[in-house]
Amino acid sequence: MATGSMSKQWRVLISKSRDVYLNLAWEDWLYRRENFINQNMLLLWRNDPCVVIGRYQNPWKEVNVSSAKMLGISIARRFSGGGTVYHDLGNVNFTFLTERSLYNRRKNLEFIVDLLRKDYNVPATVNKRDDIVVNNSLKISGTAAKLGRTTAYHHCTLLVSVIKDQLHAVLSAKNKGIRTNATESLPSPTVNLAEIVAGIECETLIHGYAKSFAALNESFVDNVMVKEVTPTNVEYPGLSTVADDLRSTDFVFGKTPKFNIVREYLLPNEGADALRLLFDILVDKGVVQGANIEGNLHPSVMSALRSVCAQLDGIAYDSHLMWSVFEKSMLLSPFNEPPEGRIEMDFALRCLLRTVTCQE
Amino acid sequence: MLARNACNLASRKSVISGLSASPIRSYLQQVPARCLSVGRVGKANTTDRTSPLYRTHSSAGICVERRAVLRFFYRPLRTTAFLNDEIRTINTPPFADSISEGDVRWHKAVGDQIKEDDIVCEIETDKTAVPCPSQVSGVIEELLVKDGEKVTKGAALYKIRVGATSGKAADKLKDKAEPEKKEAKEEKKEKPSGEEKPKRAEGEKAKGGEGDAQSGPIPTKKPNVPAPPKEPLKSKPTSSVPVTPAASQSKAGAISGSRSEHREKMNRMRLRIAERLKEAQNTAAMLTTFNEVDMSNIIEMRNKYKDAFMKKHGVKLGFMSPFIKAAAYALQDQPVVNAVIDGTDILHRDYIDISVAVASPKGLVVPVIRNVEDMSYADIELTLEALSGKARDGTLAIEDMTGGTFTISNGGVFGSLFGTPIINPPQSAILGMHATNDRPVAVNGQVVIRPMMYVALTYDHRLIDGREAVTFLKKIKQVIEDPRLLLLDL
Repeated sequence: MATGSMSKQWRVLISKSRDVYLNLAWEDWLYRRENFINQNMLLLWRNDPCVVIGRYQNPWKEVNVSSAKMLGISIARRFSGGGTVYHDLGNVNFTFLTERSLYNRRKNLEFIVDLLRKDYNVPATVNKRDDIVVNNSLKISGTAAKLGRTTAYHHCTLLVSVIKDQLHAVLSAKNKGIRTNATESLPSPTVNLAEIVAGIECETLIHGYAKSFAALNESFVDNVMVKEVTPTNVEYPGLSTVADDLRSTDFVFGKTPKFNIVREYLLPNEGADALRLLFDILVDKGVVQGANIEGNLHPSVMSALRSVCAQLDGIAYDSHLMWSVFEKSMLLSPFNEPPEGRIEMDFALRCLLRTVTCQE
Repeated sequence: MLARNACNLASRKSVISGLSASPIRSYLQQVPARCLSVGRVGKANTTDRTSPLYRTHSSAGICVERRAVLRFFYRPLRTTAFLNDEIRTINTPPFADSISEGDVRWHKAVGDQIKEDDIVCEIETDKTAVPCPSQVSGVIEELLVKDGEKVTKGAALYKIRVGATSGKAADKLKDKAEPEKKEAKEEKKEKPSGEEKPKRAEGEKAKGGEGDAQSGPIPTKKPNVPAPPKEPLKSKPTSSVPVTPAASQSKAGAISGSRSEHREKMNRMRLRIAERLKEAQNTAAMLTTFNEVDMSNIIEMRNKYKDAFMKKHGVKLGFMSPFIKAAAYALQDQPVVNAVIDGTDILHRDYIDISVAVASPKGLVVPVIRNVEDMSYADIELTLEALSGKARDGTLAIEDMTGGTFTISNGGVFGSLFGTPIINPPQSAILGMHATNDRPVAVNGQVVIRPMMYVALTYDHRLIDGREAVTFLKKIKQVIEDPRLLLLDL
């Protein structure tokens, strides 16, 4: 294909990798290093089960981190903004890369919907929030975008046949008490395309979209080049470094905007004022930065609480280290306190634990 | 009525523009924002607030003037770089689509050193992230919005101290910053002030410059800043600003034996080059084959025709073009050298784009000449000239440097005798030219002195076999030694 031609090149790249971190790094590499003055690109990719949160989101607020870890579902933070989505091999990801001035989210979404309507008779539409919905109510796609100086990308998901149990398990976060100005996801009821039209498969969809990408191209069909790639460092120097960065705890959890966990507890006390405890734990960059504890418990209990919390300072939130601090303090407590303090100490520690785990 | 208004306005304006500072100030103090000085209108004197005359005057008249006066008075101070420590307020860039507000997400903090094009923050609108790259270099002075707070288009985001450095020696930054600066018109004025008067940022990051007589912690009073110049500095275009060829040369080149060391961060270009070189080494099975070329014929051809060539084409006939043409010819003869391994496929290309390694002020750049198979010597020379001009000026675009199916690197201009070039990914081979030296060689049983050049072909053995590589290089040698083979297609 002559590179000096005047017409725009339309390329479709299908990733053979199923690693969400590698695919995100690949997408970012193309956004940063490719020139889109003479080409428009569509990336089609799928990932092994994972949850992807937006750049400025709080993973503990959006994702049930412990369930995800148990189920072996990776958590990734992408570079674009927006909300949280669950991916697995039953979900297709689209990335539309163009030059900045040609960024048009709606047009891309219409492209996706057109194929679904024409080839599969799915009653899909693009709603006002730029979501693709079926029957005007059930969401089958989520969208996010990034607008750089010269290049822009718009990426979105498409639920074809994901495992809904896993989706619900990881997206029902335990986040009581988290106060933050991080971006919040707007949960919506979702549905798989396969539930609407039997027999829809990701592979066929991907190839269908690749072929019809020409439909977005007003000129020649020949100008569309479809290629399957395995993103590696040969064609994309520096790719694995970015992928490793994306994989790192520093990025996934460390880039969480500052947040507080604020909980208040009341324990009725016979014949006296109710016992009251207020916790305010500050977590910044994924690390506990300090805890403010107020209450009317016995001073020794309060100071014991404060010393436990002091040990948390500088420790990564939700890390092994943090849990071992708790184990130690739980072991120490009940047997060393005077009898009347024992109940209070017990209560206090249970409240602290509840606070830190954001449980109801 | 309105006409009279206009006259009053005009006359007042001209009076005001002649006034100096303090009369203006006292004048402004006298005139309240919503003027009631209906008397100045003249005969159409009315206290009827609904009269159009009154309204026109109050809402448009004096207030416009006042604004005009303010604009006249304040604009010069804000936009020119009189002051060394210019603190600029940066506003929110325009949003996408029809969105009117977004959340700020900071990527940098107060006191951070910012280079031009660094992302300082991102504005997050509904599902879209818009990065805000900095137009200038400097140090963040103040963040005017909290992280996660909403801003509207055009709102003030942060303040940056232009041209400042945070703790590092200012001249090191100057050397690094000079080659990296781009075209923006405002920059032309700032750069001379930033370079010629390096200064420390006060407060947080001031670790004390190297060689600073006063050691110790943060200075408590302002350092001695020279007075601002009385007239505007002459603006110099980027290209005329002298570029020190490589900062490291001027520093590390002076090895004085004083047993001190200094560290310099690798610039982006060098980092990228390093990365790519290692990638190439780690993926391709690189192997080099050598040959030597008798340059007498080509030198003779050049000497014979160089003036005519210059006259007709306006460009010198060098040695690169015969080699480039020879390489193109050989690539057509051995197309596997023009192909490349891509994953588990071999990608064959039916066009020949040759990357030519050129030394530029920023380091090695490799611009690409497209479709060499159709070019003549003259075409090649002209393209080369254009590209090296761009490389010298620093205006090579990314499109000029990507792609390329084969690379030629000329170490000979620096005097190299023999060497093994490294393949430039994603390609499969690279031709290295070296210096031409007179050497005794055997021709027809006799020892003669000929100008000889060693040529080296490093190739990816995963794709290209030894036989193919050697044949390829031999072809280049033959075509250089006897350009008539090109005509005869032998």
